[in-house]
Amino acid sequence: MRMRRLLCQVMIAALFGLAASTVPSPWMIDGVTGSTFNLIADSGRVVTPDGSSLPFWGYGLASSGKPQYPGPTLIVNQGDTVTIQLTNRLAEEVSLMIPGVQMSSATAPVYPQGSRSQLTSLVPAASGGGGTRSYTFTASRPGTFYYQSGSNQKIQLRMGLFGAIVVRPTQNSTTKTIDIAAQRLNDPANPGVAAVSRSYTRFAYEDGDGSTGYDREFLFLVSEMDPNFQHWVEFDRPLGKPFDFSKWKANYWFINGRAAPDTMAMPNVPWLPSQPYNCMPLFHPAERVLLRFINMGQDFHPFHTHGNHMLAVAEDGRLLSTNPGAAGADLAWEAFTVTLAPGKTIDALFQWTGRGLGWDFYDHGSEDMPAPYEPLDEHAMRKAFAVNTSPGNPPASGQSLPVIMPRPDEQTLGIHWSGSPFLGSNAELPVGEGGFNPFSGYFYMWHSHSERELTNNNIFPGGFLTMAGVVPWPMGWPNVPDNLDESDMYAPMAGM
Amino acid sequence: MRLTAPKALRIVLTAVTLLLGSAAAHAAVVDVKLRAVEGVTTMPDGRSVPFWGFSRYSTATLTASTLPGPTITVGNGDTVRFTIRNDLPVPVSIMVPGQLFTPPAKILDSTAAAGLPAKSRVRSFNAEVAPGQEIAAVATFASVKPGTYLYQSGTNPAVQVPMGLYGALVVTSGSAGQTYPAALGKAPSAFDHEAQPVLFGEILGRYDTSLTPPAYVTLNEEVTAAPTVPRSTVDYRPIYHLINGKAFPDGNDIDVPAAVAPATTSRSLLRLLNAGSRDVVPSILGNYFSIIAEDGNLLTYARQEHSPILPAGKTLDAILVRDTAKGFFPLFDRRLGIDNAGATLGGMMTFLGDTSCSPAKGDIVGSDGKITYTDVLALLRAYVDGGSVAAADVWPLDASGLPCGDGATTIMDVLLVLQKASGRNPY
Amino acid sequence: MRIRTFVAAAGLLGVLLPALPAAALVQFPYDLDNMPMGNFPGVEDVDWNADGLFDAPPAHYLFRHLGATDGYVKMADGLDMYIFGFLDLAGMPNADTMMMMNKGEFPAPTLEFKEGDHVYLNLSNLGMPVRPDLFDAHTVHFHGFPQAAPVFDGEPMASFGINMGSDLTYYYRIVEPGTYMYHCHVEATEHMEMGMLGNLVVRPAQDGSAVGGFTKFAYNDGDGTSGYDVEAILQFSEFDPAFHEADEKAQPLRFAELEGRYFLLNGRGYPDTVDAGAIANAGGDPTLKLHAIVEANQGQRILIRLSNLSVMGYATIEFGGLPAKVVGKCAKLLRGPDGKDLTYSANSVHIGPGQSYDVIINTTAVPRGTYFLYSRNLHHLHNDRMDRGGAMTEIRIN
Repeated sequence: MRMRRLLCQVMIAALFGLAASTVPSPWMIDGVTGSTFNLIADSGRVVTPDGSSLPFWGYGLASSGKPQYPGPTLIVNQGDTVTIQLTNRLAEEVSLMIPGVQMSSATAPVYPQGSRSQLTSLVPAASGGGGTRSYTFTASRPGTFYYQSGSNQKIQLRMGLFGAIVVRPTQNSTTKTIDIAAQRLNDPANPGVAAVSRSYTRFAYEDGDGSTGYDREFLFLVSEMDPNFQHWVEFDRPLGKPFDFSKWKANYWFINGRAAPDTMAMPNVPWLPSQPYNCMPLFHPAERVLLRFINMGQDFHPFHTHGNHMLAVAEDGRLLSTNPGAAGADLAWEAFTVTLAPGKTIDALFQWTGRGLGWDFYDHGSEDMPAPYEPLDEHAMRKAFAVNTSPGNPPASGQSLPVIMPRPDEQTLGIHWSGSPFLGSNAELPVGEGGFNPFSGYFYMWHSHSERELTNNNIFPGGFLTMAGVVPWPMGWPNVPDNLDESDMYAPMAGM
Repeated sequence: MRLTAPKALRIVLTAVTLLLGSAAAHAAVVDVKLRAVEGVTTMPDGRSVPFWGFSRYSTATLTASTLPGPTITVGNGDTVRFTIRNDLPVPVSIMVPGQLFTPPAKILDSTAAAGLPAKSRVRSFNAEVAPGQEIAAVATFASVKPGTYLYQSGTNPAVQVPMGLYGALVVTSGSAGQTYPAALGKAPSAFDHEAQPVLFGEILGRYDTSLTPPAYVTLNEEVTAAPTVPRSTVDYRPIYHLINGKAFPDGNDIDVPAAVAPATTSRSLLRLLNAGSRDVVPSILGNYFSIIAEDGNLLTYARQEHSPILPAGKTLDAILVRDTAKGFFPLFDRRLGIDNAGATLGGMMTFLGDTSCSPAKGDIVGSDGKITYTDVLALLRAYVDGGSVAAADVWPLDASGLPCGDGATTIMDVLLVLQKASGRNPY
Repeated sequence: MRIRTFVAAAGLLGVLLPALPAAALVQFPYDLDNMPMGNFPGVEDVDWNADGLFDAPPAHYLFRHLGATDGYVKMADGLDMYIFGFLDLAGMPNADTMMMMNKGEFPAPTLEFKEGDHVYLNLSNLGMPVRPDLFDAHTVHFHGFPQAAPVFDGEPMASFGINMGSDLTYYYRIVEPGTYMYHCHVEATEHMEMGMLGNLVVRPAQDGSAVGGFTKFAYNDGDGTSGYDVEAILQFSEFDPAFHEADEKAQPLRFAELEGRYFLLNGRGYPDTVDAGAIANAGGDPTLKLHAIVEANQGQRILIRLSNLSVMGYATIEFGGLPAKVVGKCAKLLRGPDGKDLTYSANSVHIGPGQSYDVIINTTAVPRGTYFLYSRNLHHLHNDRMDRGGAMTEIRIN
């Protein structure tokens, strides 16, 4: 029941938020900006949808005084000198390390009182019980990175001491125009489709040619927990009891700190006080969506997007390019399932247009009329994408849909089904069905394809999944201000 | 593409090397005599673990086996002929995945554990050597191609490879300073320094709750106690995680030196191999790997990764590019195979970099793994006598806080080591 | 409301069917004679151009009919394992399809299409007689289908599943060649672990023309990069016998304890992977129909289409120690946006659930003999307690 309610909330919020077709919003991931960050490390509890409460250790903003899971996403600009001041409220020493980044602060590993056998931290640490340490680096390279503790990793990493770092490229102050109409994101030679130009001012990397330009970005910081381990740290470890690490086995999986269906709740909900971030991608057809993947767990996760392939443009914060800054992402590769390896980051672009489906998913029928919620400029783009018929392939005449649908009593309906197979349309549903698709969009499950990971400790569904929503371009909505930002998107939720 | 001077020079050198016909300069027949025999190794927690391993021997001297087996280095185009002397109670064979060989007629048997159907199944992928036998030239790999390879037993591999029957085979390119024969249109494989191979492995075990108190039992102990019993390894997990046969803190850091003026960059070749049954992610902090080859095949485009995936059985050749700044970079398994039977921090962890800047410096007396007042006294005595002790040359610290030293033993070195011994952490 | 068991007695559904309106069984357009699906793929009863007369189907129109039910398969160590599975109902009258209950196969029948095809895939949910308490819907998810729309994507939260005793038709316009896979997406963790998984291959338009010395290709490469002589389609998966037994006996399903103990290529563990015949279950039904033998003459190029639909994790598949060239990944030719060659050579691929690889082995210099393709995650080389089994098969070079 809770899942229905909160999904309904986010759907309505999205409905209003995406009404401003000229200013797509929100476009950026949640996080804190700046160049000096004051973080604390402390313990807390995470809530899972099956009602469990698991202990975690996490970073948090000193200004809030509370740890969060994952730690705050730090958003900086290329070229910034970034300082992270860490105050450690845990009992044991905690540190902060950033793979892929060269630090300007000291980096020597900590061997107190001895040699290899005495190693406690891979980098200088903040001592337990209030110790502090400052970490500095110059964000010379744009991209997706992460910070994590370098102390006693086998405990601290599993407890949750990690967070994301996003470095925005200098190129963001320029405009680049690219062709977004290729059916394959990486196949400009595919004939039959006229180019559709679109200008971008937001890029993932210094590509030089705009090939990493995007409309919206979403973070996928994935992690996992073995409840037996979390409870051992809380109760048994202080008593000196051992843990069989060979039997460590995840049974909770999190995207941005939440297990499904909480992934699809709103950000900053009061009933998930330590888990502020969500993961609910919503975008329009033809928009280029940047997915920033970070795997802070210890298992490989095969991330699968229903709906289309992804185009991977960077790995470990490095653009896949023969000549970064000039040649663009010319070594980019596509996949419908991307391996998220522990400690690795991947940046990928996703775009859905419906091109090539072979039937008119806007249900124009035989008339060339814009569908409801289809703006005229997007109508032209859709005609460029859709390939309904060609000589030699007789149409299923008189029908937009090439098959006859089963009767509703023959179907087990999904909650995101609008009642109609067409984008932007809905149909009457039996009482109690549906309700989680108020804008009659298309939903795709984006999930780990190790399907055991779609559970919350024996309960299906859950874990490592979310639903990405293709929202039809709105037309005829009430006017909304051009400066609609994320807080406005969720404003209607106040009091619900 | 702008040509910098070093790049231009490298291209010229590449062209010159090609003209000199580096590939398969003069292919030789290399006879490698390997002995398969049981050995014993010790883990950092003191546990003695038996293993089955290879050793290289001559007719006169039978050597003990090592974990992993010895690194075998041959040249591009050589024919490698293995002679195997089998001092194990089970048959063995040898495979080098990625190098061509002529397979024997299928070696099958139908032995199965009690209660299971006796179906005909392959026992060895390559020609076998029975227990107690020595067969010359039992396996031949002709015209080997350059790169980094694993050699491993091809008999009942699910048991014999985790037992330790593996090692690294390095095939040099024939061109000095080139991992592979230089080829235009491929990733550059030039290097200034070659580090020792980094071979990841495991010891499997299971937590036996029938014991009092419950404890880990290694696959190795059970197999050596009953070597011919048909055995499934589905219930075993890695409990020790090894780099070059050692679990941290045992083992050595890997020397990958910074550039020395007038050079501005140094390129160090790291051959990464995973002989284990589980995949590893060797993550480096403070630098990137430039992955140039996979399984002995030079890539067209090098991949820049700080956390490459090293699946079971795979080899990767990586170049670590450094400037003149000293560094000591952690390398660890990001899949968290970093414990020793769960008890302590250990496992697949080491450091790459200027080992002359290791924070472990100062332990100069009796490798006890700790810096104590005994070390301080010995250092003070050496200082007073006017000598120098490189292993305790910690002052001055480098910009990143590393005890790189200056080549001379001064009172500052003594003071810093004294601070270490008394529990403070000056480096 | 308690759902009554659909007993697999031949005449029962014949009694029930006429009670339902015929239109409920007609999924294709223009099936003007209102005959039950029994005439499928009886092409003479479809009017394609709406002229009131029956026509032969146009070129490139394909019809497939799958059933979803449960069944048993015999593992290599003799265990008769309860599964959920698909099976092929092509040409079978609807009155007879219910007889195929409890005859699910593993893996599901391989689907092969060609670029340019229009595919109508009919799915009949035959019910699961061993579990009369279950009334699960089923779907077909064409995994990796580009630019999918939810109605035909088979993911039930965003669309719907088809109930027991009913049919549903999917339409796919095939535009992208490559190696895909398909599976049921209803209660995915359970139905996939129970075996509703299959191979799916799309051949490129370039097939049939001579390019680079070949006439068969994995992709429209234009230069023969993905050309081959002999093809092998292999799917890796795992079974946990405790989970299957719990499902068979209506016990709680412990997803938390799922752990593979049988490691399979095309549904079988070695040595059954190299048994060229079908393998029957204890009831005598030949439900393991695919072997995993890879065979070629020396000098030929072998294309191995590899996919992984385990619900648990990755496998590192090594090609007998033979060097291989990876030319495709996840149904895309390894070629960059402006044409850069991203293919590479390796001894093995690290393949995760939901991924596919296209690997070419050039046997020109390879000595004749039998090599062994296997998962280099060596704990996969068992059939539960049986040593020397699991995810292993032969590559025979003649």
